[in-house]
Amino acid sequence: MHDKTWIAFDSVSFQYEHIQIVENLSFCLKAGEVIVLFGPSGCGKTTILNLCVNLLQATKGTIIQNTKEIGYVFQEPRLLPWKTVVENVELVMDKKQRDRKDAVKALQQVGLSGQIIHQYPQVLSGGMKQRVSIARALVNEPQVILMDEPFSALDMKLKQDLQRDLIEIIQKRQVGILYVTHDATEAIRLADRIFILEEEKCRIRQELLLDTKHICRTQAFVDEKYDKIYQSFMGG
Amino acid sequence: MKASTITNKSGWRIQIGTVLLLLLIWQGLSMYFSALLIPSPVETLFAVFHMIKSGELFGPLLLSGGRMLIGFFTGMGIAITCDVLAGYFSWFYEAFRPVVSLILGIPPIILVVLAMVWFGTGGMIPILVIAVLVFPTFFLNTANGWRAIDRQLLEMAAVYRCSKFIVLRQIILPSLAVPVITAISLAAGSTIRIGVMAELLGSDSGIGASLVLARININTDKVFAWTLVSIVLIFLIERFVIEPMKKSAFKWQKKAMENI
Repeated sequence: MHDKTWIAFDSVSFQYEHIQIVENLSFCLKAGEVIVLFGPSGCGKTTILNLCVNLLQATKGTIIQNTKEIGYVFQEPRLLPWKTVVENVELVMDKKQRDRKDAVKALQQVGLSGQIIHQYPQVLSGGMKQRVSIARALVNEPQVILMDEPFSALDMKLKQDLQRDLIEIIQKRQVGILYVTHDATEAIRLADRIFILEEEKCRIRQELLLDTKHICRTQAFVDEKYDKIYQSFMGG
Repeated sequence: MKASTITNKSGWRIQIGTVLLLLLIWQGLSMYFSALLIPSPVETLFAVFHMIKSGELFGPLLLSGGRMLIGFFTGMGIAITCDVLAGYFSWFYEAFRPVVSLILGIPPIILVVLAMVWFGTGGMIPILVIAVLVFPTFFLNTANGWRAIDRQLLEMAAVYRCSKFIVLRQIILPSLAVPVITAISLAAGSTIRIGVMAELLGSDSGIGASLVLARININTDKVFAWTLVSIVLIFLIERFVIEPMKKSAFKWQKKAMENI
């Protein structure tokens, strides 16, 4: 992990129609680091990601972005139905610096190649659509990727394959990842740090540091940390 | 219960069968009544050929066609401009809704009479009436289409900092294709019907005026001939303008369906 900070939240609060959704949140996302935001549904995890890319504006505090290259894998694939798979990836590409080859390469990274990349999204399965969405996030070689439960709709095998691919990408490119999930096992497999969030106001209840290398995270390791997360989550 | 499926080919056969049946009924009625009341299909065709030969057909046809196009595009242009404003400012949409309801509630013939009172007779009447009457069709369809644009796609484009041109070209325009083509399809037929009616009452030239002349001279075959020309015109617009537009706009859906 490098020391370069890509995104920094400094006492950030966000209020929507008099409801405090995020209160006084501070953290830094560094290059090559994976931060997992772990918390119950509706606690405001997606709001944090949306604040990072200015889809929402913080009502208090400051958000520092040291990069403009940010990829976002939404909870839904958000593909244009009238564009083919490869055209969907090309849509967000910086055309001055990249061409179709880069789009094809990004798709290959997520296991999509051959005729399938010239098909329209409606013929793809949910898992394939989400892979296209991941390829779209990777194509500009971003320094930060925001991922909002990207693998929740996938089967176990595909989920594990993509998690492995993701770890490879993080290690190769030193990408900073802010990852939202409510799957504790997934959080333990991917994270460098896990923020266990409270149900209200998105406060960090506990920060869990996982300094073991991803490759060494055995099932026993996952089980041990799982208990810890579970206890913290239940307020123990 | 067994579901009925009609292939494209048999669909065409059924449609041709219906047309032949209507022609047969028409022929039967023309044999029963005098040609002054109902001329036969053959007499009507002869009248069309006679009008082509004498130059009676193309002059009024081109004149009316021109007026219809001007009226159509004026109404469409104003409606789409209002739609863009309504898309950006929701108050504008709400403010225009009563205007649209008002226009929809006015029978076209009253509009023709009012236009004659205000502007006298002439070529402006059909243009004005068509423009006013196609406006609500475009306004409502496009405004609903604009409001139905997938906000999640716009958010995605914002996150990836896509240019305004890309957002317009790749997200907004394809999203509006369905409602705009539906509006064109609905408005095209009514443009011809309203245009002929407005000319008939308020103009001394064009298809409508030729119909008046044919009626005064009791040339019922010519009245039928102009009716046939109007029907053929609507058919040709549907077949050679609207259908290709639909095909082009929904090419991706067809391709996707082929691959399922």
